[in-house]
Amino acid sequence: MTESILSVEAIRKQYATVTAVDRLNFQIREGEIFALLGPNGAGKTSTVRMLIGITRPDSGRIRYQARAGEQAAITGPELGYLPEERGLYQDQPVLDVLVYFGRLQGLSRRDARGRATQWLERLDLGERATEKLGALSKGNQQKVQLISTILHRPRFAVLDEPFSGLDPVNQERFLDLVRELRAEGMTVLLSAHQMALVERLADNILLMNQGQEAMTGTLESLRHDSGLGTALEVQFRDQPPRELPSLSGVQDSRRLDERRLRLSLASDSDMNELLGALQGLGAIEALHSERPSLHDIYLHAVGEKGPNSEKNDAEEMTA
Amino acid sequence: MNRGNGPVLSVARWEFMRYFKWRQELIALLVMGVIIGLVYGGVWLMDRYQSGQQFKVAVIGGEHLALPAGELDRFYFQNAEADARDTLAESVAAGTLDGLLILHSNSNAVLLAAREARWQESLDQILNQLARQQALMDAGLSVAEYEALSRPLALRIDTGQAGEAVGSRIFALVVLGLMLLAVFNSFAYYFASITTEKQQRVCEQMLAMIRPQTWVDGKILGLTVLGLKSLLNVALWGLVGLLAYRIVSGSLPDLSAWLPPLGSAFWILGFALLGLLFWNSILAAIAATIDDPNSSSRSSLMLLPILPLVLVFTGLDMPDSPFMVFMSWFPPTSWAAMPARHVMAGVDPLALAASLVLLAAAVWWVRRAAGRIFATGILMYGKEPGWGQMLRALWRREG
Repeated sequence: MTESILSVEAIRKQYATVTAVDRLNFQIREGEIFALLGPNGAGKTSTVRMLIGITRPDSGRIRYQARAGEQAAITGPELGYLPEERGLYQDQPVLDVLVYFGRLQGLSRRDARGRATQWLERLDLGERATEKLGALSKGNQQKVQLISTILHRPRFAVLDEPFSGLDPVNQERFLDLVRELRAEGMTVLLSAHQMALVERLADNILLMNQGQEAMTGTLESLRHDSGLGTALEVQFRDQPPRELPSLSGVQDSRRLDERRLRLSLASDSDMNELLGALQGLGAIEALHSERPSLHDIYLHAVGEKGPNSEKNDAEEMTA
Repeated sequence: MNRGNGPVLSVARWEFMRYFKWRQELIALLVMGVIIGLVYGGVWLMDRYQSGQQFKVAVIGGEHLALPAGELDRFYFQNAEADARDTLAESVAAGTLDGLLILHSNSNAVLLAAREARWQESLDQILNQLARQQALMDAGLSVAEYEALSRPLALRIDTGQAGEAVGSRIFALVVLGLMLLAVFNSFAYYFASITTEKQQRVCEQMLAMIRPQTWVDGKILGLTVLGLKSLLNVALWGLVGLLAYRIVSGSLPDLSAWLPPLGSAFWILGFALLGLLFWNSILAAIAATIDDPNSSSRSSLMLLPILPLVLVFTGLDMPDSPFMVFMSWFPPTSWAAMPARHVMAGVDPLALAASLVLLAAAVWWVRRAAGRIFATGILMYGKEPGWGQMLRALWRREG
């Protein structure tokens, strides 16, 4: 898991008056789960469309290390793509659609049928294989769409907003499934805005805002780089002093009620020293610590600028 | 991207099977079979019933035609006096007598009957035959003399094409008409196919698997075959019509007179098939740019393929005029104009071949252009590419 399979160098994409992607750089290593995160309109889908060759960058370069050699986009049977704008042939039987997609991705008819049947069984849709897609619930259609993406065992799966439309139970199944694909050696690019789900899955994360990189790295490195430490909630038996003394390693403090304080710790704070100091303020009844979530990190990274939500139009693609 | 013909054939098969349903086809064939069976069976039963039946007809004034009393063909004629008219009319109304024939002269007769029936046509023929014989006798002419007098002049038009012209003309008209039908059928399928894919948001995942050119090639191939298949249905119904005609008239038209020589058939079919592919490619591109067929002004472009046929029909009287010669080389019209010139005036085989090659090259270019326009329009939701965008797409290097 050390080779870079995809390298993105300063790509830029402009739609009419909106810059959807602005000098974006990142690399993805083979076999990892890489998450592209950001709010709606951050430029995720525009980036994905350039990565898979549906559009081209106005400037910059994409280098994909295909088995046959370097390519300017991830294309062909090595790609499995679950688009954000998704749908399947509603008036056709489930199995027929999967076999068709399998054929287009290079499988023989027999292989496509066999694999589709296995996947349908596995996702509890085996008995509905001959039904028309339109007869399935939205969640089940989403499962079929996911099967169509990975049916041919692609080397690189691009999953754009894969969690939307799934209930919590199926979200969990989906997380397990993606982990399984990684274990089989598949490289996965996730584009999503559900940060709580992605932080449980991703090996590397790129936070995007207004078409640009806000932060990038592993979850741990993001926590470290953000400068956000653990949040500590302390409940005293009695009311602590109204004027708190200076506490080493505490960046910020907030009084939640008469007996409870919430402290934001620096990433290099010494917890033992801090606990000693807190005991000096009064008897501690309860403690609860919370590491910064991706959500916290993202909001911190974006800072006063705030996440952009005015670029939805830019995500509407024109070829 | 996938290369080779595999994905094109997969798309073509898919597009064909999306609209070709075995069950519906079998039901249609079954219905057709039932209709044929009913028509055949009904007429057979009717004939069988009527052939064993004798119709009793009373005749007043039979002497005007020398109508003999007694059996003649399927009739039994019974002479009667004029004062028995009312009684006999009551018998007709009661059904004990099939008819009462009142002859006022050898050219004026009335038949009283309870209802109209097919046997009355046979009676009409018999009476007319007797009346002609009577007239010939009155004029002192024999039947042979009469036929010699009434025979028309047979003018045969010899264009040096040894009798093939009529067959070729009919064949060409039928083929071109059917091809136009196939174009319209295919266009309906393009509309349904492409707008459904847009509405169901299938396009982006498809384009991640195959190139737009591959997709449009498969569509053109699959839906063209589907259009041709619909012609097969038309042909089958035509056959049913011929059978019905045979049953009604008792004879079949001479179909061999409609068939052209093998060489002409080759040229006509070749131009028709390439013309079908040419227009289907254009229609595929147009359909990809239409967001909503109900409101798009581009829907009217589906009438474009009629234009060549209209132009060709206006020039049929002057097949070698500069206008027709130009149209027979210009690919959008050559598929109709060149076969028309060929059957009307004869065209040098080398010119036929050159025009066909030019049309084939145009099909190739239009197919590529369709791929580029398709790529421009297929991912547009809620809007349509402008004419400028489409023109720029035409000259883009990649589809």
